[in-house]
Amino acid sequence: MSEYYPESHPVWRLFRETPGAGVLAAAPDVYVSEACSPADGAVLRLSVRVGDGLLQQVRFKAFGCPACIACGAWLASQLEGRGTDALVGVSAMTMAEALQLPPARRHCAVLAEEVARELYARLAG
Amino acid sequence: MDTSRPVYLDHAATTPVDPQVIARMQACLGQAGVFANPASVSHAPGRAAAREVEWARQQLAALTRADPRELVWTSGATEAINLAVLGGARFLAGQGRHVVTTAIEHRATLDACRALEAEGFDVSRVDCGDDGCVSPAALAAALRSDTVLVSVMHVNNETGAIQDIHGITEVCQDAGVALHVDAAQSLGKLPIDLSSLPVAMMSFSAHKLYGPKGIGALFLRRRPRARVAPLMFGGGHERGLRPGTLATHQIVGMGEAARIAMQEVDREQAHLAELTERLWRGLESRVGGVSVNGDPARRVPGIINLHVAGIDGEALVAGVPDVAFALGSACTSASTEPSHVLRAMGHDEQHIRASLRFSPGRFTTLTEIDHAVDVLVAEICRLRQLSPLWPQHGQQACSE
Repeated sequence: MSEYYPESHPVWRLFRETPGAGVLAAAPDVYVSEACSPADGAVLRLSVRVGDGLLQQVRFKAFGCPACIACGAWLASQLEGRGTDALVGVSAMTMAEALQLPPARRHCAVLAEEVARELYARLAG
Repeated sequence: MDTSRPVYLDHAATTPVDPQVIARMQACLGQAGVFANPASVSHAPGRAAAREVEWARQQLAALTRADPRELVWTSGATEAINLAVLGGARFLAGQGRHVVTTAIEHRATLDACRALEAEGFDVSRVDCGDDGCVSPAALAAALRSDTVLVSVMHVNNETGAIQDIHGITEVCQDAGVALHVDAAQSLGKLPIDLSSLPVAMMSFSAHKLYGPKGIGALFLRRRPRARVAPLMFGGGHERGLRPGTLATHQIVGMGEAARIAMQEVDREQAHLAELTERLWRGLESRVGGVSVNGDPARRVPGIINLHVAGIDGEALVAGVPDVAFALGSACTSASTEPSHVLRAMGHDEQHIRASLRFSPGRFTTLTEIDHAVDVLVAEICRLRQLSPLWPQHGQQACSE
């Protein structure tokens, strides 16, 4: 069943405004990761430009429900300008609380945590 | 166009009540109206109410070419289906305990069949093809010597696919098995002639036909006689098959809705065909990647199920509050609930998530469809720009 979000809800704001939406052109300092939710087929892709140990630019793309898109936008806005270690600090629980995700949508935050950790592994690898 | 409320394109879920129906119903409610108990035939007000009930029964009988004595009022199609499937199978249990239905039925039928399984019946569910239709041959192959009942829908509520009821009726007649047809989505939209179509039972709903919610009917053939075991007890109303004081205003509402449908059916179906065609072509020409789920030539004009490549239906429905339409599925953490109909047609999770049902109605205008296309195009383009799955191979990025 589809969720209804009032206009003041953080999910609704991020779904409508989508800060950080887009993709960075391929370059040696650009890293990309993607995660897919096996439960419902949602896909989240994160691309970052790394320099001086910082996530200088962060962009996301998402295919999924409004909560999934909002999680992508929240991730991009939280990570940009921070150190690469911030990727492993991403917590689905923190995200779910910040976005006031209904219990049925918490897997979207788990997907976002997964894509951030996958990206950190690529950077480390 | 009234911009204060969304463009309503979900008439397959329910319809607004026709103003003529409202007027007729109101005349049954107040002290000056026909409010008495139709069973109280010892006094004039009761007899007046009984006449109204029988007038309504005649209207529904005329629309379906049934004998009025073959119609039993129920609280809706769900109850009618339960009475047919549970009551029919239970009554015939002495002859066999096997029931056949299809994989694309409404939940009322599927859940009633599950209840029968809990009682020890065997249930076979016949798959449909990728066109959303069940072949009579596939249904014939599922019949057994102990099959006592077949239950099939006339028009699918998600895709609008028209089932081959004549072919299925022949199969059941040849096998001597009782057939129940769920006609909730076809009443008043397709010709139904029960004087020549030898089904045993047929279920109807008023609220898909601009009548009120809370009223429906079950057709039970008199010759050869279709028998069901009642599900409720207490009063002997409706020949003991459905007890409870008859809701005159609801029944009269369904009768008036049937009367109007008889007058309007041809004009209305042509109007709906124009609306759904305009919606589909409008979207396809402006964003591309829009296709019909099922056979476009074998559906009722008022229901169209579209796959819009590269978008998630739930995001689209949330992003377009100006248009009310239905989804095939929604995501949850515990489990996805994808459309069992689209799944039976062979579609995968992402296809189902990108599928939408539009069902305009009697009062929908071309202007409303054009407005719906405009706002849907804008949101589809926005969501595709956000999507890592778009553009797909062979598709162009869309522009508004």
